[in-house]
Amino acid sequence: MTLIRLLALACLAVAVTATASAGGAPPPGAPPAAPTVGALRVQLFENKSGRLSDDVLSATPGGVWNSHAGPQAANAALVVVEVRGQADASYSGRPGTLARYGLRLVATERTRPLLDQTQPLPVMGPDGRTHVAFLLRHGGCAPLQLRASVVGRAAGPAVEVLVPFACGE
Amino acid sequence: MQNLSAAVGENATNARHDAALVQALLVLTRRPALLDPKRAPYLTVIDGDFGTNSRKALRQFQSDQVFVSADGRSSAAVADATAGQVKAGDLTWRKLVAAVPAEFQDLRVLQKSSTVFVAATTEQAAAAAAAASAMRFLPSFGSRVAAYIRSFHQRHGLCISVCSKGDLRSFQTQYELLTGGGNVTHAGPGESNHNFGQAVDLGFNGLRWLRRDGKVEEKETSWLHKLDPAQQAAGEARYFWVTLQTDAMAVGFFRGPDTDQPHLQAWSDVGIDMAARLADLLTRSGHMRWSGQDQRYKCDLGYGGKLFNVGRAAQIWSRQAQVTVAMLNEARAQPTSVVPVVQPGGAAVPPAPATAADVLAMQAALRAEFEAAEANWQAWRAS
Repeated sequence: MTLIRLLALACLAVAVTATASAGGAPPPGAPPAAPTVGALRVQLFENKSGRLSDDVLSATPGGVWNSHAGPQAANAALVVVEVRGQADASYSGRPGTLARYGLRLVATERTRPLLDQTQPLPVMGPDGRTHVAFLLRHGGCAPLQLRASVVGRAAGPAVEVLVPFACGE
Repeated sequence: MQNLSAAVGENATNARHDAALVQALLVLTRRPALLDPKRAPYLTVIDGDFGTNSRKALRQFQSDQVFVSADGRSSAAVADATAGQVKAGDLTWRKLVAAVPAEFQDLRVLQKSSTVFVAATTEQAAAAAAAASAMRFLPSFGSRVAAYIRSFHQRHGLCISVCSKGDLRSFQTQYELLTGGGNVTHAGPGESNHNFGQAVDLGFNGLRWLRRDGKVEEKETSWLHKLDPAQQAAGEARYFWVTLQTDAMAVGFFRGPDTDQPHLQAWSDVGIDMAARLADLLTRSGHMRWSGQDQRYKCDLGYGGKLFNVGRAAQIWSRQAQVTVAMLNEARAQPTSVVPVVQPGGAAVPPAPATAADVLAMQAALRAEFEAAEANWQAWRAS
């Protein structure tokens, strides 16, 4: 009986450790780690239908050409940034929550700044993820550089992606 | 594997493309575990400049793998190899090629470039050519595009392919390109070679090229965004575009605007007035007589006789042709316009005065003429 209890306790300990790792919980006693930027996706707003395209970062090998013309013409893009942190955690800095963090997105079309916006982080989901959305009015003909970074104490590195817009006669 | 055009190393020609190719082999090859437990690569940077580090790396490679006797001992006496140098086809070259991992057995580099790339397979080029054949081009032009894709691969090991939206383009899309911002084109609907299946945009989608550290870029776009993030068509990207265009012109294609790197077409724009050619197609496709010059159009409005200025292609396409009530009255009053209505007494009935509704109807009719021309796109001719 004692052996069974020990085994059960060991299994429980393993399960708790695994859950904590999945949710990004720090080791006991350590300060909570800063949230980090995960994947980015970019969906074009197709103005004729009002629909959003598939993620152009993964769905269109070859690039995004003449995106402002044609049946799927688009005049804006929705940038969705995944942020990873502790499961169910709030990073608002209010009492009972973790330290305040935000998410900053800087969008540059060649050298022209299009957007520099910081948003508060929404509460994390049970899988330790949340998403922040930005709407960009872009030209659609020049490469678009996106730089997403967590803003706050000891925040990690930014994530940069290039949206390969181009146009041609 | 592409061979060297001249010697590389100490007291050698060190042409940039040759230097880059040898550097790539030295970056991709690791020292034998017996000589270096960490199995470090011989070199860490590919830049086309065969400087001190590159020369040391070549010497190290030769010491490890060339100047070695059959029993594995160091040997100075090896035929067909020069210390500190590698020449086309010599022992050092053969050893370098043999040492590189299998996936890099066919590396290429364009003349004067330092961007080494992994040659595409024949199957990839065949697939790109087949895809081009299935796209919307004038059949004769599509065949030429497919043949060019195959021959370009045979010559350079590069697989070019038709860019997304790089084939036949509708008049509406042309209108949107012209008016939607971005300063993409000056051509209105029906004024681009793309509208008649006689232009193509070709690019380098999927080109696997080696970054400075030897890592392979796996997500290159048609327009070389990875090699040329600012899209200036300068630096290393320029070698690819120039090769694409030079070879194309040698087999009878023509370039488009200077800034439009992927664009090739069946005709030289020099001496061709696209408005005149569209007017020709409009007359042969619809019910009215047209003329065009310098992107302005005239039309008989279906009444015969005089040609009236009706504006630009974009205006006509958007049903905003420069038609007026006075213009319609003048057209109708022409003796050639219609068979006059005759009263029982024998007097001709003058045509009813035109109205604003007639103007709208005529603008729609002119748009319909453009639609008829678009539907008849294969009948467009350059002269």
